[in-house]
Amino acid sequence: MGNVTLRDIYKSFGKVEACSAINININTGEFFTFLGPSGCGKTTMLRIIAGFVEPDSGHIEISDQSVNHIPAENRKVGLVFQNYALFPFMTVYENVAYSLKIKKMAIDAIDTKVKTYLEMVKLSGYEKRIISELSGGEQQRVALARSLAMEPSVLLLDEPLSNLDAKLRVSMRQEMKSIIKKLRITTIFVTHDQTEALALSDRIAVFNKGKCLQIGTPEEIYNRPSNAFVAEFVGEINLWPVRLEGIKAHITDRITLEVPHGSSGDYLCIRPQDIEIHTTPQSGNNILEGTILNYHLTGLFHQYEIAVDNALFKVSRINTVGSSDSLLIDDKVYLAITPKVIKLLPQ
Amino acid sequence: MKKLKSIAFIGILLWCLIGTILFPAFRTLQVSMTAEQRLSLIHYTDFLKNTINLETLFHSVTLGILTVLFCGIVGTSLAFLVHYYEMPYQKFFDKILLLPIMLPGLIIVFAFVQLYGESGIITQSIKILLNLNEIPFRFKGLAGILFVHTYTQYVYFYLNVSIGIRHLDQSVIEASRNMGASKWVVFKTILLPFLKPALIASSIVTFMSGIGSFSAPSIIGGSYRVMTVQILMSKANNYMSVAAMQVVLLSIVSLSFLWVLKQYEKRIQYQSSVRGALFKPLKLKKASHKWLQYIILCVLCLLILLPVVMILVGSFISPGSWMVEIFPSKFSWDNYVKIFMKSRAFAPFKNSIIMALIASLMTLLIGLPSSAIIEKSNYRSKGLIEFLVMLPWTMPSSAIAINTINAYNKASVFSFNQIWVGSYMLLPIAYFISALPIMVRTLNVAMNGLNDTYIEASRSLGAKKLWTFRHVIVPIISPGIIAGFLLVFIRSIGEYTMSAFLYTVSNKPISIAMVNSIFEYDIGLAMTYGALLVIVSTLLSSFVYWLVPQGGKTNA
Repeated sequence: MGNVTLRDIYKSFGKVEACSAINININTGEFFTFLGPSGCGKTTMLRIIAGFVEPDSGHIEISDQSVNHIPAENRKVGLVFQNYALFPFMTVYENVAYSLKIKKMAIDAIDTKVKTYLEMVKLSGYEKRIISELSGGEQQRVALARSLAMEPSVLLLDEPLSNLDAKLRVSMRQEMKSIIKKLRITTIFVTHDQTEALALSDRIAVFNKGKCLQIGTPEEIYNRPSNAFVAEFVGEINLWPVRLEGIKAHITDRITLEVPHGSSGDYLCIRPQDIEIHTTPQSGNNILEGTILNYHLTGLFHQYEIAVDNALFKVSRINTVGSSDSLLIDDKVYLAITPKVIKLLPQ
Repeated sequence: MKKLKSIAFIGILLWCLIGTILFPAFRTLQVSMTAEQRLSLIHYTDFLKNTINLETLFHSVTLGILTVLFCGIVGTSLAFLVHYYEMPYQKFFDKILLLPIMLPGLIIVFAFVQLYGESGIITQSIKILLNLNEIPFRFKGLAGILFVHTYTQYVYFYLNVSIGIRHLDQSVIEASRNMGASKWVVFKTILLPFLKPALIASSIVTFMSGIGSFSAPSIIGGSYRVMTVQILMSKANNYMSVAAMQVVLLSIVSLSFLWVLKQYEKRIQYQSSVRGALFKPLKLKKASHKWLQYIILCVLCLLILLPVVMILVGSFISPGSWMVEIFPSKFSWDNYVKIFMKSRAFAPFKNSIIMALIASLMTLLIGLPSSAIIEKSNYRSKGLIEFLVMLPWTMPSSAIAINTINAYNKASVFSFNQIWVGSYMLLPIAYFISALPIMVRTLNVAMNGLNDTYIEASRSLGAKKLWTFRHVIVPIISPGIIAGFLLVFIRSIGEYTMSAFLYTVSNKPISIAMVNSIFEYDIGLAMTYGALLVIVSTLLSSFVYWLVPQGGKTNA
């Protein structure tokens, strides 16, 4: 088990800056996630830690030791690849035993370990299977068992759930988390899926265009985003550039909202579930009259798109029995937004 | 230091490639433009003034085009018959239909002569059965050559179109039918565009082998003269400058056609946007259609197997016994005993095996680093290396033979200041040049299967470079290496065209021994050489097919 320290990491490919001024400390036993859109630099960062990409500058420490000059094979960093990279010409057993044979362990010890880890990922009895006979979920488990068997200081997971179907993804991520938590391995998980990141992580680093924009717990990232990109990337949000006059924020010429005292920023953000929706006129500040333009049900939420003047508001309501009965497309509705749910953020 | 090593390594590789491929071609061009030790275009002007010469050139082009046409029709129809429609014993028919690709062309020509020639078994049987005064057909000239070409080369179309059919996207076909397309419209608008890349790729291969064909035109061509045969005549009469000029002209013509087809191939490339649904072969509903499909395939399989059976049976014909009768009557093991007991008769078989082994090893030695550079490196010279290793593919065998003679009949830096013409090694070198593109293409496929993530996965699990090489890289690319090695071996062991140009007393190969035996009326011995080649080629080819499943292995 080890902590990971990344100090001033820079990496560019030609003119493209893949990682710029990355400074992150990952604690021992922590489940840490690099979250961001495609091409944001998160996988490059992971490959720098694994030793497959050399940074242009900066320091990488694992267990308080600099690993900059240690080749990939000596870093004791387990990597689960996006496409699993299981050796197709070996059986499940041989794949899991691979690192143990390299260490020249005794056959009995290898056997015990392989069986332990296969049991851990619920694949006992699959030892003799060849890789092409396995389903996507089973391949994913073998890849995890193979990396765990080497007992790495740090486990790196490069979007390992992205090739699975939605339902399997949810069950696999719970299973993966419980195994990793039980073993208390420091884990760095790369994903572009914010739901996955929020569900699994102790802490998250949000990346965009090679920069780390915010580091925090899932609760901090979701509820207290430090800038407009993080707010928009993590979860649904209403986001508008605003002109501020005291506590008045002008979204358009005709839509103005009252914001908390002392707020400042270029963008106004409101989560859809923080907007109340009424069918009758309401009294007070921050009441907007609009028309339902679109509606769909996601299961847990009713989601509405409401046209207010020439701006579009996304509004969510929890789906409870009878909660959507009274609202139809083209209905006139009144939105109530209390100032405390409004956030003003820099770009 | 590391950089210096790479430069030295690439330098040696380029030196080998330039010395064996570019320098010989350049020398041929130089020789073709030399008369009385001066730069001159007289050979070209003389050639182009003569209508008989122009007719020969025209014959070669016609042969190339007709070969594509006939092979295209036969190969594509068969691919549809076997793979587009459901049928029993599909795998069995598929294997039989692939058989001709494994057999050296020369053997097929001889088997056909024994079957369909003037005194062939089939020709004479028809004559007797129908009580004819004349033989029903003459197996020679353009028709004869085309018959042999269709038999030996439809397989390229059959193979590529079959793979194309298997990769058809069922959902696209269903979408088209859903929108009201008839069967013909589906064929025209969906199937044909899907299969066009396969058809063009096959057209290129068959055109190149059609225009460069030598065995069939030289043995049964008769008055239908083509350039390859003319080149050998020029060389035999010691008009090397004329032979060189003919090689240059033939190369220009084949390169022009290749260029046109390649341009077309580039235009029709497509990529599916999403992963398609697996193609399901269609069911033939009417019993009469099913029977027709079955009967056609059975007859064709019989026709395919007939020459092979002819060779195998022919190898047991007692020496001197089958001279005037229509059907052979005396059989014995004498031919085999002669080959394996008499060193003079065994020598060609041994020579061919040794030379094919040398050629296979040489192609592997040059092909492996070339393929690694082409597929896995960012070296600046990678484009040049790819161009050089693929260049022989555009050269007819007779051109390669003339090029090697021109290059190595004088001492040069590429031949270590030696003269190689007349030596044992010249023929294996020519085999090597001709087979290098096949080796590199096979290795490239293997190298492609070597996904970089496997190497990274191995390293992240703690493996050092040597361990990764032994346990990950070798298992992935070894089927490719073995397949490439065997393909080159099969191609070289029965090679005839270059052998006819380059063999010497010290390295007379089996193909030349076969032709000589025929001219000495020792048909049994010729057939026995053929049978040995068929056995070796079929066994090794089956091993290659087993080793490298068609369509490639799926990884993870």
